[in-house]
Amino acid sequence: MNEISKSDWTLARVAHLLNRAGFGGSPAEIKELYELGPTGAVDYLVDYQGTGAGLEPPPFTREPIPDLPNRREMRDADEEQRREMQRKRRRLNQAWINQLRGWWFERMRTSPRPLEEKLTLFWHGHFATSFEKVKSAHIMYGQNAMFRKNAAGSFEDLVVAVSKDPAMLSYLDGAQSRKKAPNENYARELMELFTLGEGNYSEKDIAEAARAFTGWTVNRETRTFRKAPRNHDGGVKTFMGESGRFDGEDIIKLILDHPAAAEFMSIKLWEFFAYSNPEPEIINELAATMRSNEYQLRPVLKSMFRSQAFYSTRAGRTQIKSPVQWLIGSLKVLESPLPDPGLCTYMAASLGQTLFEPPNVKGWEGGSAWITTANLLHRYNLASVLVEGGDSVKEVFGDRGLGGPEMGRMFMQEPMMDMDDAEIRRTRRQEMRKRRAEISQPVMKPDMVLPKEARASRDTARKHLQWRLFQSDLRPKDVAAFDQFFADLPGPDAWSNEDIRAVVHAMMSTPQYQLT
Amino acid sequence: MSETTFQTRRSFLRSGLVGGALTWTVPSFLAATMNELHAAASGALQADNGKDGPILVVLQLAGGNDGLNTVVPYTNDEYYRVRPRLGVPKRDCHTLDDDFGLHPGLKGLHELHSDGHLAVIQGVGYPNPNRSHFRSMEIWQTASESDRYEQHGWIGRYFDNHCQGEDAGVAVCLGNETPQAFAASNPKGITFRDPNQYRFVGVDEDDMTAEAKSGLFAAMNLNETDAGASIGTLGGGGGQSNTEDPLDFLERTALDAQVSSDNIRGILRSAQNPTGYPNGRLANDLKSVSKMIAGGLPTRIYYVSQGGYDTHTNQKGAHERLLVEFGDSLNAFVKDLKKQGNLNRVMVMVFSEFGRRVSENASGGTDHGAAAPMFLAGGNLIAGLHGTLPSLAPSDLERGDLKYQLDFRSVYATVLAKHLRAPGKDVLRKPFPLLNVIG
Repeated sequence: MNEISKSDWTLARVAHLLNRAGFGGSPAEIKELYELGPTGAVDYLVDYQGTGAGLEPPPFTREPIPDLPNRREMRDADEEQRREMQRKRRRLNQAWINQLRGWWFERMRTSPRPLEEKLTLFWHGHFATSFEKVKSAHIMYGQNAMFRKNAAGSFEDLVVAVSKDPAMLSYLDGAQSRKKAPNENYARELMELFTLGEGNYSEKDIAEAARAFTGWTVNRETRTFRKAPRNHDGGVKTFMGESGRFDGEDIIKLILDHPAAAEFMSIKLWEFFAYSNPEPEIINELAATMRSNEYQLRPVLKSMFRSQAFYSTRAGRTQIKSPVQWLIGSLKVLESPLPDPGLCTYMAASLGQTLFEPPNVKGWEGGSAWITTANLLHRYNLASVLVEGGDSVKEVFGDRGLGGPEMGRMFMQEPMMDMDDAEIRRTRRQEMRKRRAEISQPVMKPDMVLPKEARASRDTARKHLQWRLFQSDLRPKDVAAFDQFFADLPGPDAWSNEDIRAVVHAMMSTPQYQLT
Repeated sequence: MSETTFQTRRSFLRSGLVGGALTWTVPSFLAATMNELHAAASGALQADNGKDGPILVVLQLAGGNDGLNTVVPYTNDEYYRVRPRLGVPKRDCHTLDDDFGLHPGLKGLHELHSDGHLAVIQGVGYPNPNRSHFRSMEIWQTASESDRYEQHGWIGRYFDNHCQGEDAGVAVCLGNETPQAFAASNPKGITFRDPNQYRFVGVDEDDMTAEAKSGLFAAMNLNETDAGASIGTLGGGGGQSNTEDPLDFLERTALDAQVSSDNIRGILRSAQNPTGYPNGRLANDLKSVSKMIAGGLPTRIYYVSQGGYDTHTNQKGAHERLLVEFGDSLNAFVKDLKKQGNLNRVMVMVFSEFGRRVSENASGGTDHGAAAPMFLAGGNLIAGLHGTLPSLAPSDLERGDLKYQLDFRSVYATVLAKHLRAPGKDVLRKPFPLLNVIG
C-alpha cells in the first residue's frame, strides 16, 4: 500500500489517526504527535510496550475471588438462605462490575497507550461475552486483562487465550461441553464470527471442532482454565480435510491455515479503524502482511495506519462515534476529568453501549446502528450534562430527581453487603441525591476550552472551538452556519463562563460532532 | 388562538425548535411542512393515507409471567397438588369456560372477554426453551431458533421488508431502551420514556445565547439535504443504506428527530386527556399511545411493557397487584379506543419471555419456566380460548416445565398476515401455521 508521505502529514490527519487509534486528543496532544512525523507517530502508537502502563485496576481484582456462595454452606442451606446468598453475590458483583467500568473509562481517557485501550475495546466487541450471563466481575476483568495483554501481539495466541477464557467458556457454554455431549455453540461462533466468516466451513467441521474442544472447562475454585481429560474426546477427528486426534489448539492452527482467516480479520480491523467495505486490494495486502508475519498484528496495524488509504476521504470523518468514543473523545477534546463513573456508565448504556454487556455474541453492530432519532437527541442532551450541568441533569435523573431502579444498578459502586433491603434503598437514595448535586457541576472548564487569548474576536473564537471540537476542515456550509452563529452572539470578550458552555454545547449538538 | 400558536418570542423559542427554526433560514418547503405539522398538532389532522391503517400494540410482561395462575386450570387436580399454597381456588376466578378462569385480579381483562375483545391463546412457547430472562427475551424479540443468535428483531425485519420509505415514527416504544425487536438493517422506531424528554433541551436557557443557539441548531439539524423528497409524512426514513454518506444519514436522522419530536409532543399536548385509566406507569403509557392514535400519528407499531413478573418469592400479593394493574390498564385502553372509533384497527398482543415452573417453590414463589398463554385484545378477533393447555402430569413436563403446544411465531405470523397484512414469511424467515383468531 502506498504510504503517507511527510508532505501529507498535517495536523488534521494526525488528529484523525489519534481519533481512530485512540480516543482523540487535545490540540496540544495532536501537536506532540505531529512533531514525530508519520513513521515516528505510528511507531509511537503501535510499539507501546515501552510506554507507561496507565491506571491500576480497582483493588477487588487483586483479591481472591470470594467463595460466595460457599459450596458447602449452599448444600446445607434451605432455599430461602440460598436465595439470600445468591442475592449477596449478585449485589457484590454488580458493584464490582460498575467499579470496573469506571476504571476502564478512566483508563481509556488517560492511558499513555491509547491504541492498547482501543484494541481492547475492539476485541471486547469482537469476542463478545456479557457479564449478564457470566455474572462474575473477576472473570470479566480477567478477560479484559487478557485482551489488553494480547491486544497487538499474535492473533493465534489471542484466539487460544479466548478459547481458554473462563468468560468465553461460560458465555458460549464450552465449560459444559463434554465427550458424551459436545456443545457446538463455541465451535460455531469461533468460525462464523471470530475467525473465518460464514461459507468457509461445513456443519461437519463444527461438529468435529466441538469434539476437539470438549473438556476445556473452568476450575470451580480458582475460576481459571482447566483441561478435564475425562471429559475430553481424544478420538480421531476430521476437520477441514485433515484427520488426527486434534484438540482445541490444533483446530485453531488449522483454522488459521485457511486462506479466509487473514482476510476475515483484515476486513474486521480495517472496518473498525478506517472505513466499511474496503477495496479488495487493501484487504489482500493486509492479509498478506498478516500471513507473512505469522499473524503478528503489529506489522498489520502499522501498515494500516501508514497507508494513504487510511487518510483518504473515504476514511476522514466518515465514522459514527460509538457511545464510548463519543464520551471519552468529548472528555479528551474538552480536557475534562472523568465525571461520576456511574454517570459515564449510564450515558454510554443509554446510548446503546454497556461495557462488559454487549447485546449478543456478535457484539455491537456499530455504524449507523448507533443512531436513532431518540438517541441522537439524547446525545445532544447528554452533551449538555458534561458541558453545562445544572438543569440538564434532568435528562439523566428525570424531573423527580433520582432516576429509576435500572439507573440505581448502574450507579452502585459499593456492595453494601451487611445491609437489609430497606437500608440499601435508603442509602442508595441518599447516594443518588448527593451524586445528582455533584453531577450538576459540569466537568467542562470554560477557561481550559476557550482560553482568554482565543476570545480576541469572533473569528479566533470560532476557529479555536472548531479545531478543538472537530479537528478538521468542515464543509463550507457548516463553516457558514458557525459564522452566522458567532455573528448572532455578542463578541466573545463579553462571554461569561455560562455563555462559553452554551456555545460549546451548541457546537456539540450537531450531526457533524457525531462523526470522527 | 390555539395552544400551539406562539404568543411571545420567548415562548416561541421555548416551544421547540420548529418554532425557533421558522425565524431562521429554513427552506420554504420545510417551513410549509412545519406549519402543516403544527396544524396537525393542534388537532386539525385529517385521517388519511396510512393514518387509518392497522396498528399493533405489543405489550411485554417482563420477568416471566406465571401463566398457570393467570389462566387458571381450575378443574385440574394436578394444578392444586403442585401448588398447595399458590393455587387459585375456582370460586375466586373469573370464569372463561368450564375448565379455565382468569385470576381474581383480572376483572378488567375478564370484562374484555365478555365484550368479545379478548382472545386467550394457551400453551405458547418454543422448542428447547431457555430459562435465562435475557436469552429468552432475545429469542422472543428476534423470533429466532433458541440455538441461533440473530442481530435483528422481528419488528425490525418487518421494517426492512414492509416499511421501506416510511419515516422513523412508524414504530414507537415507550421505555428507556429500544427493544431488540426493533433492531434492523434499516433501523426505525422512536423510543422515549417520557415524551417530554424526547426533545432538545439546549434552547431552554433564558440567556443571550438562546436565540443564536436555536439558530445554529436549526441550520445544522434542520438541514434540507435531500430531505425534501421524504418529508411528506414526518421526515425521511431511518437507517443508512450502504452507499449513503454518514453525514447525510445523520442530518436526515436529526431532521426526523426534530420533526417527530415536535409532532409527537404537539399531539400529546393538544390531545384531550382520556379518562377511565387507573394510576400507574402501564396505564400512563397506554394513555400516551391512545393519544398518539387519536392524534393521527401514522405509527403502525407501539411497544409498551410492564415489569416485575419475576416472582420467585412471596408471589401471591405481588402477582395479584401486577395483574390488577395489567387488566385494568388494558381494559381502560380498549374502552378508550372503542370510544375513539379506532378499536377495529388496533390489536394488542401480550407476551412474556416465559411462564413459570409448574410446581411452586419453597419461598411461596415460582421459578423460571417455559410455555405460557398469550393474549390478543382488539375489536376484530375471535374472542375466547384458543390453543390447548399442555399436560401438567409430571411425566409430561420438561425439566418441570410445561411443554409448549404452539410456537409463538405462529402468533406473530397470524398478527402479521391477518392484522398488519404483511406476509409473515419475509419477517419470520419461514412459514408458520396461521391461527383462526383474527376476524
